[in-house]
Amino acid sequence: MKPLKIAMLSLTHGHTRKYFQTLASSPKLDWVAACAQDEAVRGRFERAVQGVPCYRDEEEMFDRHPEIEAAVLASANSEHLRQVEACARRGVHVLSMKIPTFDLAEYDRMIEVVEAAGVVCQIELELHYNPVVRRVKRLVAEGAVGRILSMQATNITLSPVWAFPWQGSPEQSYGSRVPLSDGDARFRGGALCDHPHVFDLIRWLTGSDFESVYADVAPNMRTDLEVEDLLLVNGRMADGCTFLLDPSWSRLEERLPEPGPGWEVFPKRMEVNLAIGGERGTLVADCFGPNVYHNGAPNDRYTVQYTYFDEWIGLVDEFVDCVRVGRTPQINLRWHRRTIEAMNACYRSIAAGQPIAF
Amino acid sequence: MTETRACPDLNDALAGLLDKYAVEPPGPWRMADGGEPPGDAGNLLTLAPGESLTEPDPPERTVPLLPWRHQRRFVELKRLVDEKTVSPLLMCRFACLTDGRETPLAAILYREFDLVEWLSGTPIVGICASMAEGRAANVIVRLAGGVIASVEAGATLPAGAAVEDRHELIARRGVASDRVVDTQVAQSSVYAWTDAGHRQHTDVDAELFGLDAERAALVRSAYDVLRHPELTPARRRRHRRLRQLVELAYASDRRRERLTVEGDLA
Repeated sequence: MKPLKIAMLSLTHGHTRKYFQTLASSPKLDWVAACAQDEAVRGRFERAVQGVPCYRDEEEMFDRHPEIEAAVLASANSEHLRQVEACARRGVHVLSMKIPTFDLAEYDRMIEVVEAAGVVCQIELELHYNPVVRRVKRLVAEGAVGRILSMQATNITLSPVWAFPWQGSPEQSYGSRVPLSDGDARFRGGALCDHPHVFDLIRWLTGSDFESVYADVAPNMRTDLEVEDLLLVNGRMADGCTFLLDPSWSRLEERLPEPGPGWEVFPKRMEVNLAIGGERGTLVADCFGPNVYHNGAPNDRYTVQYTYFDEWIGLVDEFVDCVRVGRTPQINLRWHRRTIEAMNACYRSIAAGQPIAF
Repeated sequence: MTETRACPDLNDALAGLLDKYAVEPPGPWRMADGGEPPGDAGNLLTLAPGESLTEPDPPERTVPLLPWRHQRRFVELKRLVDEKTVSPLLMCRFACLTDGRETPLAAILYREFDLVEWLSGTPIVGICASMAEGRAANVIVRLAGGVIASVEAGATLPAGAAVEDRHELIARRGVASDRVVDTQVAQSSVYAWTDAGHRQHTDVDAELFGLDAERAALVRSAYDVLRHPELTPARRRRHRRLRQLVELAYASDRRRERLTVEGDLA
């Protein structure tokens, strides 16, 4: 299969470094160009990547490289609609970050332009390509625990806002400045916006849809953030499965301008754990374990060193296949809309202090 | 309905402690642990795990025990909070899975709600629960002062499986937990691979050697009652509150609402 000629936009998303590695190494991709949001970002890019031209203007990049077939939108959420429209106008396929937008009118506009242009738009939810999740999915499908009664999932991390400031900006993360609730000085746009995976996984594993959600926020760990960093979510799926999700930034970090060694204060910077209780048993899973451990440089602090799986291989395989064969990705805009609705319902629940029914 | 069962090994263990430390109990007593109803116990003081006493007001001579408060791990977690080693507390994440026999769903909630309030030193003021078929509950509670806590409760383990639980306290400065970072289940002190197979042991109390952590804590809590009988009324009030919190969780699930805990309930 001919490698897909791909570009990368903005370079400000938390997964940007992962894409540097993926785009450079995948035999299925031919990395043609990149476009940085600003000079500082371009400087970081040029220190990390050689041989790929980096522009500051997206139109200029596309004009100079008409061979570009697809683009990774590695940008703030607030940039996504504009970039999807720009790609669709040029017939460029889109690999979108995990939150296309929280504004459902914008979201529907994205669906409209993508479908009108006939381009592929795949949402990056890499846990679909994680081997532990695949095992869990298989066990559930085989009936290992019987009908699912209950599911708990954590997607807890450190906060990326110091390296990726847009994730602490209500306008750039959530898309607008909406107070969490009356009398709360914080705004929508924090940890919840960073962690759609668990909302997606429960739909995928149960095959059911949300019936209701309830969410509550704790006082912030990081008192200088204007978005939420600790919250809990529970609720019920239409099939009766009850759930509890923790999408918090509950692991403290050093405030590094660039992610790197020594980022962690808590030894483990990220966790996606699942527990599924069924009629015939229970299973628990750590989607990123087991790992190795050290207390060496730079801070001599006990640290979990991840033995990462490379979910991006499967993700790129699917994306390239969809583009070449003309298939619709599993995680497409229409599938993902319900996940975004559920996350919005969490914010509404926080404001109302009550569960929100779908 | 009150269900208790005499437990001679534990009674012997408790008698040994009383004798060793020359503690004079306030009267005749016995420990109970599910099963046989106490009936008319006369002057006998019945010491029963609170979670097994399903009525808010158990028989007059029955003292509800909160044995988990005597487990070393919870004592140390509480110390970390009380001494502000981790501070200020912002969020608690508790989970407990059982096979539903000895510890059914309501009993799990009873224990975990007590731990939430006792470890944090703060009363629960709101409860939102989502349950499934009496075997699973996912509860979010709000404490006075804005701390939130999750209680993941499940009676979905196969029969005979050991309890699996986890308690994590998240503070602005520090996180405390009774589970090792990057693990999912409890670790043991001793692992033995022998011709007889694989065995694990976790011995926590040399004076009560041979009892597992839960049984040792049950004896310690009963010992505490006999040493401090003056606290019995407070223990019964505490039991009443916990029963009401559990009922409120069930009501929240039925009504699909977050419910407010009015006053001190009891």
